Amino acid sequence: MHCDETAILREQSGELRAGRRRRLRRHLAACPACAAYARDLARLEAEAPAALDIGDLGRETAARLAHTLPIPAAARPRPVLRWSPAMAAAALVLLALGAAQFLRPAPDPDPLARADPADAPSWLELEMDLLDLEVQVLRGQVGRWLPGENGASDLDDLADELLHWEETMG
Amino acid sequence: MEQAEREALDRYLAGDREALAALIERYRRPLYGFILKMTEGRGDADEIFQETWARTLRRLPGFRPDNLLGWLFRVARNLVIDEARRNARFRGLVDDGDGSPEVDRIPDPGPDPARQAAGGDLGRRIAESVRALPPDQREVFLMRTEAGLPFREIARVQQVPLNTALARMHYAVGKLRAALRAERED
Repeated sequence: MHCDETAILREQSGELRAGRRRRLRRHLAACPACAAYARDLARLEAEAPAALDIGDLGRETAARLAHTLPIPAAARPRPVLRWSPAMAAAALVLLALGAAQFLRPAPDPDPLARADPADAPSWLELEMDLLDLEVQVLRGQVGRWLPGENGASDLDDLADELLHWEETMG
Repeated sequence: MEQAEREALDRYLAGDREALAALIERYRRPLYGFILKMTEGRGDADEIFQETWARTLRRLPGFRPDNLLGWLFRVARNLVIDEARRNARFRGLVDDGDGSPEVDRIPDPGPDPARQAAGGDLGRRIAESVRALPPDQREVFLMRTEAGLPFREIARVQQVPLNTALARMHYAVGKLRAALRAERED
């Protein structure tokens, strides 16, 4: 094996495969330059952490950070629901309302089926109601066509006369 | 991913804030140290550290990296470069088309707060030598010695071939051996 410092670096970091490691060890035993390199590298790797140690620098930042960074939303504990007397009372009222609704008799599906024929309106009354409805519609439409200072009241009078005539003639 | 790391992540995803606190503290030294040494003199290490975790956690529910620390380094490194781009002091030093990686063009940093924590002559020499390394070599050296990342992961973080990551480490070691020689001569 020829001199290869990168193999020494990889050996030191534990990234050299077994076969290559055996060859490197044989080479180191025979090559004083590479052996010195390996010794110096080991010394540097041993001394550097202490030489470059930052002590407590950043400790406050790290502590602050640990309490300000968010924890994952999915894992955040859910707030616990605590019953208060007011909440309990409200729940009871809702329960009572629900029960009342449930126990109330069902509405009549067809009230006309049970209506007394004597209570039914006459044809004349129905026609008068219809005429009244038509007049109201006419008032609204003509009023929109002919807006004027007295237009609306004149039309109202006319409509009233028409209604009175219809009632008299009916 | 280590078993302990996987369990801590699972606990965090189940809503355990203490598990998150333990993870952040577990990786504080390598990660904050890396950011600090890559942003020396700019004073935005806190911001980048926080943003690194925030971005990583946002992706976590649907994504499990093989190596959480490697992923954190990747996010942090991108943020360091983005910050360098935004920083007016670095304007004109990026995208100048000279073909070198952008991070290589970040100017020499200012005072290193971490140096105050390092003690002993050899420690001081190592710290100074690391500080003087070009950023791409410094990155590799820090990820390897402080975080213990394998070269395959370092190459992923730097988005370079494995041999490039190895070559960067080899150059860094070559320069740092001078610190060891100086110690031997003393």
